[in-house]
Amino acid sequence: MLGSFAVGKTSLVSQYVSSIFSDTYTTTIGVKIDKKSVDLDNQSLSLVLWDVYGEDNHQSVLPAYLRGMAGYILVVDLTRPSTLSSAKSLQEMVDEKIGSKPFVLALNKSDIKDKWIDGSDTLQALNDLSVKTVETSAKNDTGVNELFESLALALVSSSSKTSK
Amino acid sequence: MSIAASLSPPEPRPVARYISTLEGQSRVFAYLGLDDSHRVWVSGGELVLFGLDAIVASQPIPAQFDVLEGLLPSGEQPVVIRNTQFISGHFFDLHLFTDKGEQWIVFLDNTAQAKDLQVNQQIRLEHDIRTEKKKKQRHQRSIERLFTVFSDVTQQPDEILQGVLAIGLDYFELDTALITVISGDVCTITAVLSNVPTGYVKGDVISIQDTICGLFVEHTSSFSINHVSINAQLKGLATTPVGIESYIGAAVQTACGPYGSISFSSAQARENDFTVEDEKFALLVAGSIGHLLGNAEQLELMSSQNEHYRTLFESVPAMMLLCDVDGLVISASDAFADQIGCVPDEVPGKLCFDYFQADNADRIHQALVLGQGSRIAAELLCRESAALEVELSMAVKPVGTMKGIRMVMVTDVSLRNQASREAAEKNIRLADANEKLNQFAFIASHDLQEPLRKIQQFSSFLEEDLGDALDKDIDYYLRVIVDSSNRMSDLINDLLCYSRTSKLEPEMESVQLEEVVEDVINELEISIKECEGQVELGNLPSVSGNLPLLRQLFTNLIGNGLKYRVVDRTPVIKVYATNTQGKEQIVIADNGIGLDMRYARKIFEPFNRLHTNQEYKGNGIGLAICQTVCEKHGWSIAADGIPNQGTKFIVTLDSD
Repeated sequence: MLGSFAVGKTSLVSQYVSSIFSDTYTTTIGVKIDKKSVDLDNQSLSLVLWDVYGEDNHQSVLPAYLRGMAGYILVVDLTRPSTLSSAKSLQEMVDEKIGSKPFVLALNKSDIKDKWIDGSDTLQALNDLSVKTVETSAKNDTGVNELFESLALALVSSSSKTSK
Repeated sequence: MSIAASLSPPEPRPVARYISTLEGQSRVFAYLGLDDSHRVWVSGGELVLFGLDAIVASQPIPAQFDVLEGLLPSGEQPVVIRNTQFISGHFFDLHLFTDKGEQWIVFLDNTAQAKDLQVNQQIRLEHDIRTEKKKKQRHQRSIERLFTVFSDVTQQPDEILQGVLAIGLDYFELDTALITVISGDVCTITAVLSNVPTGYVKGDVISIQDTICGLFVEHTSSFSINHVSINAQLKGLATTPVGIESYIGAAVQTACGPYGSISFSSAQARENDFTVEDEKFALLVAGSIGHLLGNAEQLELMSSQNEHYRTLFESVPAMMLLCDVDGLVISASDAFADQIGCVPDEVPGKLCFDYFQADNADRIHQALVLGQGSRIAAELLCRESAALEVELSMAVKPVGTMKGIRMVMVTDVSLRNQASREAAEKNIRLADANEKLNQFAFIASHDLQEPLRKIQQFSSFLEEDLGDALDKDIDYYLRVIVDSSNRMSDLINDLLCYSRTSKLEPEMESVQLEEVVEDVINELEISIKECEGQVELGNLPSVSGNLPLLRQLFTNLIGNGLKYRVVDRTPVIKVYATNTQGKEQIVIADNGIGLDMRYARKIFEPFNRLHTNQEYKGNGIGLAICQTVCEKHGWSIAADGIPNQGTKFIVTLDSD
């Protein structure tokens, strides 16, 4: 889970793994590692989810947290335009440090969609690069399963291509 | 059996060396030594605390402890993943390193430090969130303020500019704002607002090489920089008497093209660098100013460089407006201002639609868009009188450097429209009167026939009964009575013919004029022979017409040529078609007594004769009937003649 601070990465994982949502913002230190099994058609997949601390004005995500990553979810909060540019720079860092990996773009906080900013070139660019873009709300549990399952499908697809 | 149970300290040398410094800090740790297959061959430390106590040697470690999935092999370079949480409430630093070909993983408890860090980070990020929220609110408020400033029609352009600069300073939290116009290699300050003494004055001219805006206006629309003094690109710029450390600016464009720049700056560096959103706001402000300056520039052009236009407006007693395509008035003539009842300076800057009836607005807008040559009717609102009927005609002319300017002529058509309405009413009354007159002529002539026939009949009875007994005087009296009654009968018949022709609404059909004239010549055969005349017939077209009326027309005109012949001259009448100025004409030309052109129109009036009955018999109705026939067909007839040489009657088909 990559993205700027306070975009809802931890809330998305918490909703997905434990079906819990809290309105209280709690910052993530380092990385929280969780697991979740997901059934895709005829196969079961075990996702090890690394919920990495959010980027802010004082700290960037260190490449060590990207080690061993098979794919990622890039989370943005469209009520805060700055989270888009942060997401773009994270996506570029992944490409640079560990090579291109499949990612799903999460447009989180869809429960307050009326406060979203208009589409921008950055959003369009990320949308074009991602395997899928999903509107999510960890608060309302909207699009959360679809988000993680989309990534799982992309990883299976990517894995089968690699093995061929 | 677990590894933890089979192995015990002391720690292997590489691990001991790695963590020897940590022991002094009383750190809690655990370690795993891995073989080439990532199986654990040695482990130690607080394995239970880290959940490693159940690890077995028979399986690779990632299969038993999926936190490590993807992290192995560790590689030559040590890797540290700090503050890893995989057990609730605990933070571990994960160290992966290789020593002499052996892979090692060290789990180091960091819970205490991480919790401190979390508290600090929580406070910092909550502050950042609040700051971001405030900035967003400030952005929204600033946009609302901009809208309010630009919507205030009572403000002059200079006041609006000052308002916009103040909003920008608040937004960026900077202290100096400038608007410059760039011309060639120099910038001229056109507006300045500063919270600190800067030495800038409106009208100052600065070499563009000494400005930051000179670096970007030609290449990009916005630019921002923090910590100017440490930026090599900007070193040496004489940017300001007091120096600049933070700067954000945007290029200003007006409808007339590139104008200059707007900038906000401070002698102090900002805590945070400018963001993309900041540059967007600068662009928004620059765009708004460009729009304002575009209008002001046009007004300025009108009032200074194009003074002669104003003079023209003042001197020409015509109502005129200069507008852009959106209807914004750039200038108005004094005559226009007088008419609507305001002073000339009130009109520029307003929308022209406001001066006309509300339902005229769409038409006026369409005419402005269509531009050159468009013309519409409208009602001009006047403060001190009723709305005035006017006609607006558009001309698109370049005015100074402005292009696409609409010159709107406002013409008072109230008198013309009034006259037109009165003429239409008169025409209706006249047509009504003519109709009644025709009815009267018809009834009168019809009713006169009965007593006249009796006079003729009883006169002939008297003549027969008296026979030879008539004395000379009585015979003379009777002849006068008979001649007069015969003339009166002819007159009544002609009058009836004229009246019937006028009343008739003819049914039109395709008529071959040549055949019509041939028939007429046959009918007039006796008359032609009597005077030994000739009728020459050329090619005539076929027309849409009424056959009986057309027969009457040519009978009258050819008969006219035979009647008004010169004694001892063989009458020759030519009937032919011609085309004059694109109009088809039928000409009936004779070589008779001709016509004094002073009477060329008079001869078509009923009962108007140029000769006495003794000279040429007739009642003066024939040509009047010809004119009526032509009118019924939408044609015209005219006469052209030279005395004693002949007359031409010209029938123009489809006359306007």
